[in-house]
Amino acid sequence: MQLKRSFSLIEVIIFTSILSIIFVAAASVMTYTMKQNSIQIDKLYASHYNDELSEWIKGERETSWSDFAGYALTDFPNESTYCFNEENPKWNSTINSINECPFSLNDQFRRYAVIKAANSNPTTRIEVAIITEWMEGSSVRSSNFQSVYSL
Amino acid sequence: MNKKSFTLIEMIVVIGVIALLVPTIFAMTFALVRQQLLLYGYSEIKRQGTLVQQAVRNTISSRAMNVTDSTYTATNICPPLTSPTPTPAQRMYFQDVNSDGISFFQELVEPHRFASFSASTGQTYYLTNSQITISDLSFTCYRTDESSSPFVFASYNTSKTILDKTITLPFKVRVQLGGGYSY
Repeated sequence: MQLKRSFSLIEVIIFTSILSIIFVAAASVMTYTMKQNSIQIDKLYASHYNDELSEWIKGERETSWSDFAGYALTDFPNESTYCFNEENPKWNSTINSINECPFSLNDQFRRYAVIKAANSNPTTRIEVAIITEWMEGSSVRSSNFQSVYSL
Repeated sequence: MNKKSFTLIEMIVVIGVIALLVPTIFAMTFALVRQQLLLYGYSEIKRQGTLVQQAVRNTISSRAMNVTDSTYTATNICPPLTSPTPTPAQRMYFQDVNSDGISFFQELVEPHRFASFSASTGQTYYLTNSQITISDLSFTCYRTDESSSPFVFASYNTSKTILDKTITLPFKVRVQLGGGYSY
């Protein structure tokens, strides 16, 4: 007579646990990758917003150095901070704290520039830091871009 | 011989579990692949859009001398800023420092690619490949006063369709003609 033996409880438990560990690991890797991908897309947007503003500021500087210097000198000798939450950047009044710049660009980002004149009368050198920030869960992430403009 | 086979209930349970797991795995894999494609698409439209921006900026600021008409002969066509905003054009023509005519435009057949044309060689050069589309290309030009070199303002969108979704990034460039302008 052939003795037909079935699986023991231990064997079944070991098999199921190995399988579930593999599944859980695979699922967590996938979730992590998807989260990272979505962060990368946000980063790409943020760097695009930085480039867009940098390009616009380059145009402003070419159009009129004295007007541009005027914006840099608003709070001289301190630096001036401007919020640029519009799709088509334009000069708004300076802000005292970045909290005055809401996350309203594309409903997710806030973009501001810290503009500092190295000297006044005449201004020959202007340092610009462009920062785009966005919320990722409960933490704020940011993408920065810095450049220096000379007369 | 005591040969025990699986019962109907056991088979139903096993098939039920598989029927739940397989679609979940497929759905997750599909979402992941879709997102990877989106990321690739975004980096591609950003890369090519920036390339066009740099090419337009560099060419106009270092080589362009005049904004002209389609025959590359007329000069002084950019109005001073106080005039009404110049009508946006889809193609803009320049005379360059070597008296060559160059122009920037968007290819009119699908997929729309950004192109530059050189009158002396009669060659069209493409700045974007056919994987992405250039749309809403428009040029305007103006002068801040009668004697100043004109500013050229160009805006365009780069876009790409990934599966069912079309992603778009807007680009703008404003640059002053720098190739030794004289009126």
